[in-house]
Amino acid sequence: MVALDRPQPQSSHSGGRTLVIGAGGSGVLAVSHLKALHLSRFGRVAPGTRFLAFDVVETPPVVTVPGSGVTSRLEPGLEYHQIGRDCDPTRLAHLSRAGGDLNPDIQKVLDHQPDGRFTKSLQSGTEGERIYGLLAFYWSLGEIRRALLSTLRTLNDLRVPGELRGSVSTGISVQVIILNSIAGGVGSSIALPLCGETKRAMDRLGMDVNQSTFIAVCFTPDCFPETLLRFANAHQTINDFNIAQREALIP
Amino acid sequence: MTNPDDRYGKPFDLLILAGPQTESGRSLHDISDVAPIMAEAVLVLANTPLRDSAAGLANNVFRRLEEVTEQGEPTAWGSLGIVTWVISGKEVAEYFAHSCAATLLDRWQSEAPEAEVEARLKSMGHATHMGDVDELMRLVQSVEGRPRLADYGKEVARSLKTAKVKTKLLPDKLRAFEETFEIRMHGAVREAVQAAKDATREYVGAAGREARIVVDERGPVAGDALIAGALTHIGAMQATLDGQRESLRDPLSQTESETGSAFQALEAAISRPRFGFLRRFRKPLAGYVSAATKAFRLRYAYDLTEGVLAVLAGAQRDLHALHLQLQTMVDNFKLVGERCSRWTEAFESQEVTPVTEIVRRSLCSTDQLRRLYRQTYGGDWGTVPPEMDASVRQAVGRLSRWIDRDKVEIFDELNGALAPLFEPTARMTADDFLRWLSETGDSSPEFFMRDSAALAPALCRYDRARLPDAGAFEDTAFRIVGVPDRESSTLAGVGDVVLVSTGDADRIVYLSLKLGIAASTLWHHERYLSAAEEVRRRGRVAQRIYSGFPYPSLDPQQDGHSQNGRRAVRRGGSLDKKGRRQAHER
Repeated sequence: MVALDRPQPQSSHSGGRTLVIGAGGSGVLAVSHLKALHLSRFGRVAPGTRFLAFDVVETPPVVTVPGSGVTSRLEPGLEYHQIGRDCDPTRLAHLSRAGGDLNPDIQKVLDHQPDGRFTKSLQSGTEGERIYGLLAFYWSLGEIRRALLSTLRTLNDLRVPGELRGSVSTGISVQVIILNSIAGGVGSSIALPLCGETKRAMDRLGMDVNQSTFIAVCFTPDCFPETLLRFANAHQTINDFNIAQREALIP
Repeated sequence: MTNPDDRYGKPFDLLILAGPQTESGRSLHDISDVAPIMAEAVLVLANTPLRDSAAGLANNVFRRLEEVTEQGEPTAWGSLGIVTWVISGKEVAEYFAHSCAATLLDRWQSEAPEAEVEARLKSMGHATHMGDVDELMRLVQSVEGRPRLADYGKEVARSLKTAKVKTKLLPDKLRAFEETFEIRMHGAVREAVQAAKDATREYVGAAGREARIVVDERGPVAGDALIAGALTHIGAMQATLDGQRESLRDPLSQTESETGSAFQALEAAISRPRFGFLRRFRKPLAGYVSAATKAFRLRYAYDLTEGVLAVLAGAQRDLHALHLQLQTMVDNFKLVGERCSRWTEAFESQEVTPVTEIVRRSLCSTDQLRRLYRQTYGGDWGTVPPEMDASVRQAVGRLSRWIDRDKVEIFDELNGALAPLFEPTARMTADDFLRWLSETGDSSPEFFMRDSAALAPALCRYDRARLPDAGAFEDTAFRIVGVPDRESSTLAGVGDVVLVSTGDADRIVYLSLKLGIAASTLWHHERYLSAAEEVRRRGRVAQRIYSGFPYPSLDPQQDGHSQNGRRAVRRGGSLDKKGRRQAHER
């Protein structure tokens, strides 16, 4: 049935805390749709839910909920963060070869590139190369950490219906959901490090990481036109996730 | 932090794969379809009471699973399927109300029979002395049965009889008499015009009252027809008077000229030195009096006609204003009716896309809803039963109240009158609709569950040959159905599902989760491997990008994932689900 042109307030949403993170273009798209769903279904973003999204493009998409006419966009600077802005991989590679003093995280990423050559600019995206996505991540790590901290802090400070007021906090637990594709250049490379940064931020705020739940939603390569690089990325990303899960490590 | 962090155990508790190809072979388009569907799934898992149930059920499954398969792949991978059935009792009630509103507004625009309009107009006319021009002019020219203005000739004769006038003073006397009579004539014209004003005011007032009565009985179209009739009647009177005025113009001019000549002749006769009484000048005097009497009579008639014409023009303006009001009401009825019709059309035309088929699937078709209307409210679709019509009319009151209202107010009042009638439908939950469908034989709880399962295959395509138990998933899969209230749900006890109360009156969510499926069982996994090997061979793109990560050797046989699709799930054993570092070697 076609909904009327107004949000349908609903009081049945769960009282838990949830942080939904979109990594890369597909993740950003999914989180954008989720926010639009919240506005359409509840009239606002549910009180215990926060959105964050990271990608190398400047602005997030505007999406519309089918049948409701509700449109929304992740708020730039608050919910959506462009990573790798002003990062010049070619210049960084040149500096690295010249023995320049680079951030150790960035240096380590540069060291993984065959021949140390970076010929692409991030202005047109990563063109599917995961190393560029990871480079953008470390370039903007400060902003990412700030975004995670401030967002998690709002969840930490939230009082959820049913919680006893005034009780000694034993550490708030959160459901963290990270959405990303395993085929592209950004989401596939930064999902794991993002998970790690999220856990560190929660730890820093005294939240209960062990009692929190972490879920990854991974879009497979058949969501996109088939290319050799996308399929190769999928294989490597699955491998990375498998290693991380098996060895209980976060890069 | 460049070295891998081992303080927090495994990064994820659950890894869900999502793609456009489903287990059943159905295919969505691409990320533009999959992203909004996964957004719906995330909303269900995060922001509905299914969150806790899904977490509990998943934990139960993971407790039965080892952390890794025999091939060393994590069993945290899984996939999900979802279908959300949607129907809003409130929206259905609005659908019914909009349809009825359109029907009623159309019904309330009937025309009155011509004979009825004519009869009302005639009655109005006679009651206000506006039946025709003659009736009006008779009214305005007399006071209590006597003419408003006396005859000039008689007045002159009486005056001359009562007071003897010296002959040479007669012209002056007659001049003074003329002036006095002219003043009296103008006064009589004013009074007559005022009488005409009073009559037309009563006529316009009567027209307004009659129009309101007709609007109450039949609607604005019929009311407007009455006003249009009154306008035509006034117009006809104007035309008649206009003709009469025109016919007076020339005779008046001629008579006034003759009067002047006759007076001059009288003056000339008096100025010649003669002795004797007035009767010597009887002939010129008679000539003058006759001409002057006729001139005054014509002038009075002319000025009175002009005055009444002006009054009728004013009456026409007032009636025209009424006509505009009623025309606006007719237009408003039409606009509100069209708006209601468009609303119902929009409601009926579902936006059917691969995404809406999954996340906003209609529980009832348009035909079923129309049957519900017939069954509940006793009238065929597109009709309004007489009792409902009467109930609405009573709630709305007199239709004439809407003459000065804008279309928004009209719609709000009409909707306000209709909404309570559809309250039983507005209160229906999705479960109630499903129950009704079952009662009418269109569905059943069992059929609904089977249908939902078929519509919610896992959003991921696997190579079944490499799946454990050939994909049976009996032990590692579960289904949760979110209903408005599970205590009263018609789906209680049906199928192997967990029923959860969501408090969402408008939705039934069917969610299935399959866990413990290694990613290497993906349909295209072999092609992923080949692609990775090719990219590695070309040596231009970095694949292993994390510093300090324990990547295995590049020998494909030691890549750490299942190559031959052997059984991926081993049952039994107790597990630390958070995967904190165990005392085993990497």
